[in-house]
Amino acid sequence: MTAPATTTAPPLDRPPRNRYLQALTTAKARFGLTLVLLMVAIGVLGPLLLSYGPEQQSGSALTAPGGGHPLGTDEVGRDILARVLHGIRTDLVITLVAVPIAAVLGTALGLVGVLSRLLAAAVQRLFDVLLGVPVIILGVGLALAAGAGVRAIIVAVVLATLPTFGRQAHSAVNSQLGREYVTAAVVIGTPRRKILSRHVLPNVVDGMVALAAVSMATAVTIEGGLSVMGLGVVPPQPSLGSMIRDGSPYLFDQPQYALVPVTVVVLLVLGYTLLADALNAAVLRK
Amino acid sequence: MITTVHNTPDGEPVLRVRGLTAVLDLPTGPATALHELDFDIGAGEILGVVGESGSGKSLTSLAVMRMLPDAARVTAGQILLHGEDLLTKSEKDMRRLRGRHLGIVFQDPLAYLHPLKRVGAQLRESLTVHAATRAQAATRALELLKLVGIPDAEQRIDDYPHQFSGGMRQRVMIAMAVAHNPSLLIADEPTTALDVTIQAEILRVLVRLRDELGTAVMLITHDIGVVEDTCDRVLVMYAGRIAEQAGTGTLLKSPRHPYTRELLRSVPHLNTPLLDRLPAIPGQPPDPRNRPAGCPFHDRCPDVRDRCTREMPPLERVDADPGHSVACWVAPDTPVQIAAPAGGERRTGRPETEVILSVEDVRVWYTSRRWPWSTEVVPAVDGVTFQARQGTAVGLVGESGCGKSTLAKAILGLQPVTSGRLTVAGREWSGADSHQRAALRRTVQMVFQDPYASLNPRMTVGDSIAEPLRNYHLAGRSQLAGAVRELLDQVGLPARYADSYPYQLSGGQRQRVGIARALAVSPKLIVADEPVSALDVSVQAQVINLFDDLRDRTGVGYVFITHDLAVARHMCDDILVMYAGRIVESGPASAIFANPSHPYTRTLLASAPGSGLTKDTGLKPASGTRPTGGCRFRDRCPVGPAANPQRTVCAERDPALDAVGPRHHAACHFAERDDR
Repeated sequence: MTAPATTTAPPLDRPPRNRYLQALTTAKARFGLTLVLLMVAIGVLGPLLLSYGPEQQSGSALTAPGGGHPLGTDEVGRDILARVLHGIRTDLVITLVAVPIAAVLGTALGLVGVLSRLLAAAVQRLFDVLLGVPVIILGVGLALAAGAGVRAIIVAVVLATLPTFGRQAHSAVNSQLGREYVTAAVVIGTPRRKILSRHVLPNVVDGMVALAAVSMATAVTIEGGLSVMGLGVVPPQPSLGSMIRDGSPYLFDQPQYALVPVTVVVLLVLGYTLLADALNAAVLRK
Repeated sequence: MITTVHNTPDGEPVLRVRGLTAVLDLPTGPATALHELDFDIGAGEILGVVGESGSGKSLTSLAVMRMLPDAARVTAGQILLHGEDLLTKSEKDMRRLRGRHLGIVFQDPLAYLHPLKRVGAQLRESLTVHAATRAQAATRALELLKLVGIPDAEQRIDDYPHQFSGGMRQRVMIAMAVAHNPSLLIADEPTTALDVTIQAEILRVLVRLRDELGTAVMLITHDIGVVEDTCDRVLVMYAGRIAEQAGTGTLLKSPRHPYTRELLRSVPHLNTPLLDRLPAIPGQPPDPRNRPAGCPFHDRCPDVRDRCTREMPPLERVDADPGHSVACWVAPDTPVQIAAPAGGERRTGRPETEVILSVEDVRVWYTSRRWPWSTEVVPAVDGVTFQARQGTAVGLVGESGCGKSTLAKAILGLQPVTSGRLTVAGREWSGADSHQRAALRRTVQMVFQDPYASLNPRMTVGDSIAEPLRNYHLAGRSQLAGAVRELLDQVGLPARYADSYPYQLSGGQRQRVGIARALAVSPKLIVADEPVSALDVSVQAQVINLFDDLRDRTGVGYVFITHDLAVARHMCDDILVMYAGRIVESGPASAIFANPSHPYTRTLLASAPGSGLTKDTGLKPASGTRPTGGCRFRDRCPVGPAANPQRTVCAERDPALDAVGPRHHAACHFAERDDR
């Protein structure tokens, strides 16, 4: 008997880097990441550099930019820059609290499919119902029931994005369970819970990461939408959405009042979206 | 009317390609994908283009169609169709040419047919686009369907693509491609996804187009047998170059290029003496990103000389034969004959060993409940009995849908049996508790068809191989790395591969990893489902040899599922031929290949690539529904009631699996006996 021929070994590629880190090397991803980090930095550090608080009134209302107020003051004499910076903070808090909750809860609910098909079907139909309710109506209901404010927005964001996580997790699990390497794991005697933790879950999480970035963008727009209608963050607490609402009557005299928060929202959403795109590409493993 | 026959004015070829060079833009930088290709295709000629993945054969066809992907571009050369350079044409002109003068057929017909449009409508559309009246288009569409051999074309023309079988869909694709009677038809692996009997029929259609219409055909394939049966001339491609070009007969009998020669030797063939080991080519085809300097084949070549590692050999005419050219520094001075290579006759007759798998009248029926009040039962496996012994290989052959994969699942305990007894090493799956199932899992393992899909992309090779060891606590934490190394060594992979990921490995290497993982628990039986069909041709022999070696070394038994009869003949001691969930013929491989008894086995063998296409097997096309009661094969049988109406017994009685020779059984009322 002869020894099996050893295959000639070609040089291996460079050691694999983390796919997520690799995804962030594209120009698009870098731009998105820079935007998001910039907004975070401004929101976190910006207020420390200001001498005004967001609720501090300076006496003169609706002044033009200049003279100690780089963006002027609002209708009750509060510094607009200070309110924008704190508004960013509010939005960051909402996205960073609501989206992880929705992601974990939604994924968990999406995973019940591995326990029982019937239960999974019930959960998925529940998600259908949730998705059928427009976000704004949901927000109005919540604001009426629990009172408007940051907490209501967080709950609205969670309820609005949760079904998407749940559905995607559900279909990802189903597609994973059909993979040949899962069959292979059954054949080599891997216990069920290990198949789930080792072969299924890590590959499900991939999709969730990209979806989380998309949901961040959704969260910012939900906050904006609800606050613009007066159902969101309650004055005097600043938020980007409520500033857009409060500033819009003065669009001709003091355009920066509404347009600066609008610009910030656009940049934040753009940043999250670009980031989500890049992560999505990484997950697809092209 | 189909009357135009493409004549060759003054021997001018239909397609003349000169110096075709193309570059592929990869993330790592541009790479030469095609290098100075020169070839012609004449009218009424089928040119076979043979090569492995990455050899550039598909890229060549796409370049001719001017349909290269965005990442690829032609940088030099000419593509002359009837003397006109396609590379200088505008996209608008090309669109017109593609419909009228160039036709293309791809591997997967379903992907190219509109699922919501009737086949006839799609055909008529392709006709009217190029200025035919509706009435003309309607008659022509019917004519085309008849031309490609669709039975009852008048009725089938208004069916949807999903109502056609794979082979029939491919015929429709060919009908569309030849709708305008193109002078050049490109067929890119047109039969790879099809069963052998259907493959033979499709190839016959191509040959007919050549003979009746004088169409020039460029047939891209990886299968030497297909080339042998259909092609007039062959182009052997390797790493984006033409390695050798010759008439089919010359190429198969006296190839000059070492790659061609070694490839021909390494592929198991139905009609050559059996060898103990296949003479495999070492290594694997080069990565397009990283091709070696000099001759691209030099690192795998047995005849390599110093010059080969430095200088690229040009494609030069072999003096004796004007149609034969080869790109090799060594070849022109050393004409070789493909003789049976030394290696010794294959030993026959293995000692009677322990029975490890016993299948007794096993049925696996799938029930689907479409409505609460109606269930549909599909008998995927319908009363199968056989045994497998330690150290032997049982080959399961048959067409897709015959139940062989379902049977494999049942053997692996992945699919419960409906009735019958299935025991592995004396134990039964049905009724086993979780503890017993775990013990059973250790005795029977599986090797999958697609080694990429069966390895978790997130796990290193080492982790994948270690997983079964961990599951059964076969190695302590400190011994795990050593055990993995040992397994890698057993399948011929260097130990450092333990830290790499599946995507960094070639197909053959991945399959070795899959085999190592199956071996980890020292199983008594390995079920291998088409384990080499996804691999490059030059790598298949290596993996087949590995299976052989492991059997000799560990005494493991195999159940080998394959559609490739030549591979089954080489690998297996016993063969089971399945049709419609039943075994129609079983026996020693030698008996079955020498004296096929069941008409279905005979058709399979006659349709196998490399057996020639001249003889008509008489196989009737499958109808939508399988007959029940009596012989399941009778509606397609070349000797049954479909051909001989007086043989009514086939419909009346179910044929039993009766002996036709020593250990040789066939289930046919008109089976041929070994001593006939």
